[in-house]
Amino acid sequence: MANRIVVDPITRIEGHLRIEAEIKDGVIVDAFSSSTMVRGIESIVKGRDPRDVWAFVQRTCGVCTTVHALTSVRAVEDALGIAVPPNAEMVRNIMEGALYMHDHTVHFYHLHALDWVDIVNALKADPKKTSEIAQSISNWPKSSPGYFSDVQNRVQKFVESGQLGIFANGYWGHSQMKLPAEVNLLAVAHYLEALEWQKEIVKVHTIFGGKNPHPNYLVGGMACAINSDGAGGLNAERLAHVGKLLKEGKDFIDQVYIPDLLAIASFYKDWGAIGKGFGNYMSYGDFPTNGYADMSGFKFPSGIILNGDLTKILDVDHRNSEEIEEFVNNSWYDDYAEGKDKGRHPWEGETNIKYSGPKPPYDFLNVEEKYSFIKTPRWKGLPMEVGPLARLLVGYGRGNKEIQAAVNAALAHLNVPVDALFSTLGRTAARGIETQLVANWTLEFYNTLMNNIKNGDERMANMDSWEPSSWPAEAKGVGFMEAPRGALAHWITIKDQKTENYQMVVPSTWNASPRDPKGQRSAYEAALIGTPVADPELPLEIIRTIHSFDPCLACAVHLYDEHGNHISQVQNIASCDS
Amino acid sequence: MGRPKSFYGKRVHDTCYRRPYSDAGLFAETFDDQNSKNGFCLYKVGCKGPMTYNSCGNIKWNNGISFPIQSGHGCIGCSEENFWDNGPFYERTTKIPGFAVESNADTVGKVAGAVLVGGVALHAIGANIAKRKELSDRTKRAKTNEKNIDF
Repeated sequence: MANRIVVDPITRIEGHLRIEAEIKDGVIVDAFSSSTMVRGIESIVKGRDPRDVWAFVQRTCGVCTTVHALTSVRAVEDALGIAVPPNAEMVRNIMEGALYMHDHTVHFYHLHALDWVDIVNALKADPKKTSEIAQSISNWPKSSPGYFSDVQNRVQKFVESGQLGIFANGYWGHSQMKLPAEVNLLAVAHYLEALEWQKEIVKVHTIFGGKNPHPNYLVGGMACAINSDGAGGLNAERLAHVGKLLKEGKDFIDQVYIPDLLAIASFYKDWGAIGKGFGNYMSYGDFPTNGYADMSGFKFPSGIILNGDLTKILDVDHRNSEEIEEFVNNSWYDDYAEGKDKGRHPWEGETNIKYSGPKPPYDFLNVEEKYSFIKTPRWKGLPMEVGPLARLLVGYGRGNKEIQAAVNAALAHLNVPVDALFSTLGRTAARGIETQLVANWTLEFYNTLMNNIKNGDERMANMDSWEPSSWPAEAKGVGFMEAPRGALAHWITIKDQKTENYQMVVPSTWNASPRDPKGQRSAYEAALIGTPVADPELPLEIIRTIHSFDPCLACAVHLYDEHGNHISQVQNIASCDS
Repeated sequence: MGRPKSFYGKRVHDTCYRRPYSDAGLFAETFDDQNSKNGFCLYKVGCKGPMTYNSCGNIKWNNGISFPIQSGHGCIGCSEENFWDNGPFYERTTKIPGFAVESNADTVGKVAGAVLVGGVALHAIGANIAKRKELSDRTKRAKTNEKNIDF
């Protein structure tokens, strides 16, 4: 008899995710991923000025802030046939690059590392040995025995006071925690440093967009007009400040994040064989260098991989109604008029919420019926995994030399085969590898911007189609990007200068969705099959694999709670026979 | 609204470093024109600074780095009640009484604006009817959704 365990909420993520997993003989044999919150943003933007929509949809989430704004302005620009000036493209790239640097580093240290690092165990470390390890893997200056001893004392005080605060409720002392005490101490020190560091890199958003979270975007370009020698606008001082922030950001990634990632990964190579899933990957591609319309200039290529076959990369077309469809057969929405098992292209999509799940408090969801607020997107009827691993694999398969070199270097360093990429470890490593790539590219974008300005091009916005009176009576567009968590696209239809319909299909929708009408599992559910669970009461392994995707559920769905009650029962860890 | 006056006592417009341009009648006419490069007032491209009580101009964001107006985009008025529905972001604010140079200018405005008021009022009535209908549609949609997820 299988034992079903529930993890709800999965913590250290943005949003609210519930996993129900069935375990037999210490291994997961089936899994169900559910989001118990609902997003209603699409309904809110109906009837509004399309130029305003970015501000609404951006507020879907404050973590990967900017992604929905960028995708939205791209969708509107696509519908209205607007090409943005090269400077605006570069500013958008730089902001997106800064987001990658921030988001991935924060995910590694603050959301994911504690699945592998035992904070309490760091107290047993010899700071002198930690210092030796630190100096052997990096030239980061904060590496003296005294420094690590101070960090240890800080953690000691936390533990003695009995108030672990953010470190409470970890799986400390779990049998699957494999790091030596000295490496634990190193990681704890950098956890704390990364907290300080992350508030600096976001200032790039503040300079270009006025604030973080939720910097300002503009249909047609960016609002930060350039005036090199002026007192107002984007002047030389502001631009130099951005350059400094990007260089400092890159230093931390090169000298702290990447050496830590490789050091920690070397103790967990067995996770290179766990958490593979179905092996289908999708990337929309992003970081245009020659305009958004020219996909051959994208730093991340677009494409689809089926069954882990890197020799054959397929193309993806967002406009083709035969390719991308969303199903609601297992989701708490009204079934489509044409039938429960039919899918809809997002231009025809709808958001009619209809909850039919159990009344809380409940022990288990009825997974025979609808069981999530997330819809189920499919590409030509197939489930896809999206995210850093998908991007790197598509780039690798497309023959991108830069991506191939970065991936091969990491594999060689860890001395693991290519197959190890298709795993929980592979996802976590891919995130680090691409952070380093993106940090380099962001400096390239910055140099391009500076050269443009030096050459006299100070355009920042194309206002030719700004006035609604210049628009056609009806228009439709799609905007896409590679958000840190994966392929993201928005579809808009515009009628009489207003937003007629709007649909967002976000990365965590692809990864976290429930089953489709054919019963095919989505990425989370599939990746958990075969994962060993040493102690069902402390299912650390489930957390590791799910966190390797970097779930962001506010985006997949959105909390809707007028009555101040949690819509789902908060049930930390439960187990029973089923 | 019970908010501390130190932070919400003044309008963004009152502490905005672009205020002198506004007083001098110098405005950006559209984004990225020469006036916006010069850093002129963003009122005509929809800045809600004149009707928004907050201290963004003083404190700024992310340790004093910038705030929306400094980075070229108008204030969207995000700390005002019901701000999402206070008109499109890029349309000039219509709440004329709140938009004045200083309190003493309100009196000036009253005199000078007497002729104007009729026109503004008519416009406001038209805009209000459209807005009310849209709001009630939206409320209806929200109610339906709410009912459907109620337990």
